[in-house]
Amino acid sequence: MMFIDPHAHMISRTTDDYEAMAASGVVAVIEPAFWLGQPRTNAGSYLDYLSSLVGFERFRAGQFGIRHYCTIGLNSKEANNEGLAEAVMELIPRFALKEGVVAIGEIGYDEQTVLEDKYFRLQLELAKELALPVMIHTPHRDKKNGTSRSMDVCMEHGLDPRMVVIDHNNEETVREVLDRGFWAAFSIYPSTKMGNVRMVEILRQYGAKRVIVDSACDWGISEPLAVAKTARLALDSGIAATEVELACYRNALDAYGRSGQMMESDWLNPMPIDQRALFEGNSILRGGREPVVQEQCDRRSMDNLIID
Amino acid sequence: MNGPYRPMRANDILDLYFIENRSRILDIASFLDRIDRYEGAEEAKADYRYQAFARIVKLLSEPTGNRTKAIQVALSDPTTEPLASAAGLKAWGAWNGDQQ
Amino acid sequence: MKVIDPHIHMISRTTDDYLKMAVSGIHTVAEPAFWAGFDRGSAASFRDYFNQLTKVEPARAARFGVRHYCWIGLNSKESEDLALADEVLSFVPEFLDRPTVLGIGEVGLNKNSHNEIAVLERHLEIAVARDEMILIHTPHLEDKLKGTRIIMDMIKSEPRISPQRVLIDHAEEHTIGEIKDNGFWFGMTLYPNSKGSPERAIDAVEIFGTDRLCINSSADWSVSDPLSTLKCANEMRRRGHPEHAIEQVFFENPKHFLGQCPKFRVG
Repeated sequence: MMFIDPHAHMISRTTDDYEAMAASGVVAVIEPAFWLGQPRTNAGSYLDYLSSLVGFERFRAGQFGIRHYCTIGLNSKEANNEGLAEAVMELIPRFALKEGVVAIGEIGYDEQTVLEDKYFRLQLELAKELALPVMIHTPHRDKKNGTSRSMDVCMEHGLDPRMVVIDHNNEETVREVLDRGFWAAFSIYPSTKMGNVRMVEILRQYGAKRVIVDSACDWGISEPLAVAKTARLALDSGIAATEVELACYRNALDAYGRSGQMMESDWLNPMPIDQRALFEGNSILRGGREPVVQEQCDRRSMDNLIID
Repeated sequence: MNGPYRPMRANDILDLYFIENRSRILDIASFLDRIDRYEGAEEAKADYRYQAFARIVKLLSEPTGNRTKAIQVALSDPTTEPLASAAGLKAWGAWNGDQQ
Repeated sequence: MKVIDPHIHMISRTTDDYLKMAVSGIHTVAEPAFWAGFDRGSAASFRDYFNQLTKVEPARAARFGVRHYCWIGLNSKESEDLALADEVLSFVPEFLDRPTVLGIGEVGLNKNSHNEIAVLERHLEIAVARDEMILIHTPHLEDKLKGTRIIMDMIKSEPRISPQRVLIDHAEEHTIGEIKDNGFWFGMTLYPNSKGSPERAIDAVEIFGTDRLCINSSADWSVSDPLSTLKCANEMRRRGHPEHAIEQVFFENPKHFLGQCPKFRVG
């Protein structure tokens, strides 16, 4: 079975993880722009971060036969630094149009402040203008209200719920999200978000229509094989294979494929591997080792991918 | 210098490492054969890296002593003057004369 | 057995790695500031990187009972741009004051260019002014021998820097002898495929002795192994070296070298 992990912070993960993910059946990952465990102090490091998402990280994934896509956005935590937020908002439109960018995200609320609300709305407008899907991060605190409010604001701005993925759902939020026609994503993240067993129960209860499973793996204690492991547990628990495929592969492709930037042929008919390729004139591998890399080109934007 | 606790003899070393290094030598031989087998072998063999490789393979059969260091030195840039600029340059594993 | 990994890029590693290291006996690590795999676009970006090294990463390590120290400096791969270097060097000292920073590193040369040398010179000035320890990155492959010699000449020409407070890293068979003769510490890196193997590292221990040597993994965002120091210790063990000698190389030596910085405590 092929899997997509539509929420994985791979810049914090190792090549061992890529190898294990590929071996488990993961063919593609989506890396949402987020914070890094500490607030950035300036737009310069945000720019380097966004550049690494559309460049270096995609290149690193390609070495292990995994297609890497990303979402671009100003996250809610850093939206609270207005000076930084203003400068980052200037960067976002030009990154949002790069090749392989499949959504605006992850955006939404953290503490539901006025500034979070301001930049959430601005980015929803941008997504609408660029006809890109949206990935929404729902808050850890006051999750139920925060989730409802996120959807209210999307509707207020005239977004089509089929273009919006609400992430980090749990048993408390799933019903409303599905009833209102949004995609409901679940992050299988040990101890804080959602476990495998609970996820299987949700699939049993609600079916897999518009349900998406992801790992949200990052620099914390997390599981890059969460999608494959959940799929295995679901199959072993008697969930139909077609349902598992929807939740762990096809729905993510359907939702983020609406960007026009992600299609099955990307991994079914991959481009030839070019071992001589360099990334920005540098070999990815230190000490002179040669990389195995899939060719990338920036067809969609006239803008140079990485700022020198 | 710390002598081994249970001093090994050269024959112990031979026992311990023979098989894996036999395999490494075969990897090197098949790498050279592979170049011969492919289109454009003559061009590849004129490359400075191939030339350097041919030199260091000879160093392997030196009678005793410092083969590792001799090979490291044979692959190194022997000059002492700094480069004008490093922009766009990387290391390739063998020194290409003055053709940076 | 307890091991110190004196050179590992933990910000690119996972919590799984921290757990594996902690349960295997690696309770103390030092992370030199280095290149991210791509050239950063601004000096300000280094500020957030240094923040991560000095604030986030020690806290992340502490969750697993691992003590995390770091070295601060502008790496040689990003030293060709002198304007960028000026800016980064202007805020290096404020980070050197932080409680887990051991000194200046990893700084050194990459392609042995004039600008790289100029930037290294600036780092040496800061080291002298502040009496900092130094961790040196030497160039790769064909550039290593020449670069190591240039670096040593630069440091030796500054009598206020004591060689025993400088570690010259990524040393190999053709550079170790000269590094030791000049009184410096030397580091050997166990990095799959391109740098040293455990066998070669232990050969060097046998040839050059255990003095002033630190063995490290340099594990990072590329294919690498955060447990490689332990695997190398095992190579030493299987050749019949006594436990106290193994402990000397993998624990006492890094403890001694890093311990010259008063901020350093073993975890």
